[in-house]
Amino acid sequence: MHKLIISVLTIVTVFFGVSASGQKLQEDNTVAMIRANYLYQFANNNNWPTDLKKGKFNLGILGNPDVYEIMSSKYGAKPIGSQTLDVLSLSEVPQQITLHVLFIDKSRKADLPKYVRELKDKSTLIVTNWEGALSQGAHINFKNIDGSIRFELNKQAMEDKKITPGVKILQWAIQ
Amino acid sequence: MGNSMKITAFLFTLIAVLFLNHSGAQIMPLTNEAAKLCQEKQYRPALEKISEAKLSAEESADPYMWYVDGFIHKEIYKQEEMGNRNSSHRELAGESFLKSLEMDVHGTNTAMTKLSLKFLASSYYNDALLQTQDFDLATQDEPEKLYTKFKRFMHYAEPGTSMRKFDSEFKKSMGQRYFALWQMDIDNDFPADRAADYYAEVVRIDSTASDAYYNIAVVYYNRAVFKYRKIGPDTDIFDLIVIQQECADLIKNKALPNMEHAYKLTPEKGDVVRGLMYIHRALEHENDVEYFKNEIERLVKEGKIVIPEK
Repeated sequence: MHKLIISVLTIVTVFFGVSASGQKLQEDNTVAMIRANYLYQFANNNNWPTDLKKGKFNLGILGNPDVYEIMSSKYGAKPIGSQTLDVLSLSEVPQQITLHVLFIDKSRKADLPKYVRELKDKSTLIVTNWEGALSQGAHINFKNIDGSIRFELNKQAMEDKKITPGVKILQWAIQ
Repeated sequence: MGNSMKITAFLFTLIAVLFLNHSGAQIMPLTNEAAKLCQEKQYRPALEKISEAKLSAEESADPYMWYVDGFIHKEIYKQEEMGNRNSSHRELAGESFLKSLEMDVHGTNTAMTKLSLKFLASSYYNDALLQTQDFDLATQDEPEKLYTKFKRFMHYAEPGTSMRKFDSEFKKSMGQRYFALWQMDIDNDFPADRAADYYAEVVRIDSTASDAYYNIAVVYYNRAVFKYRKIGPDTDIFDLIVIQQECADLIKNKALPNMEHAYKLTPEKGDVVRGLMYIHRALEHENDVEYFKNEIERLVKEGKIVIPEK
């Protein structure tokens, strides 16, 4: 009789596990990504006076480094009609450069009235991102609706600046 | 010390009982010969002998023969096929042990058979977990197959054992692998869905699994980010709005509730607090962003989290 007595002693049961580490959340500023694209759409789909269709197409960003970073890396040097898009990060609006578009971030909200005054004779499209900015002189203002960024515009104020809103822009603006 | 003495006493008792119970085993010459060869670690000749025993109506009617057969296959698996996830000897060992268990109405070999089944179960579990770390979309079903075998053998080896801990660990690991596969091809949503499904199963098993809630939130949030990254100069304004609506749904209705759940469970975990801050930023919830920013600062000050280096 040869019983398998050895078996009991040789069984070693090992259960091992794997570490359950957390996954990495992407840190991109998605709001800045969308705003940057909208700014590009505004540049591309509105019409500026003929005398501003020469040289570079200047788009200035006041107070939002993330929008500037995305704008310049993704859209910088892209053609706007026959012009080349030049994205500028601004701490103040320069007198010597004519801006086609000026985005004023909420963090620089207090500067809006000053720039509305300074730019009153220029065809600069002022874009903002806070409630009530249109009544303070902005032409286009971003709004967040249920997690989506949309925009409202003051058509008359744009036309007063000799900027003709494009069909697509009018079509997608919030009424 | 007390425990090891108890175990030693148990083993001696078990061995003695097995000897006594098979005092009439002279009628099983082939099986006994195979057993003897096993003691000499000659498993291949033992396998030949036990194959002969299987042909004997008398010997194959004894559960001990099936136990020896299972033992031989198990030892061959250990010697020759350890690490082979498709080992045929492991399969055969399992089936023979189950047959032995089924036939062993007097419980003569039951304790040893169950121990052997537990060993096989653990090997399947370990292989299943290992496979979760390297499967691809072509072999994605393999870990589940191995895991099913683990559960089957555990059911017989230790009836009534709770599978919650094992289920949770296995599914978490499956989720991690699908997540990794998604990172390799972010345009393919299938692995992302599978990852989220597996993490969702983890939270169904254990509603306190903060990591799983966090990971579900990350899957949905990152999915939105990857969609946003595709926005560029060629994106039409209509597409921009459609993409945003899809992403808002992912972030607001899927990522946010899961991250909030993780936060309720682990309010001082850096990744979770940061996650909530980013999610609220994406939804432009400024007050919440400010709140979680302050929370991060507080946790850093209190030394509870460390700001990761960029």
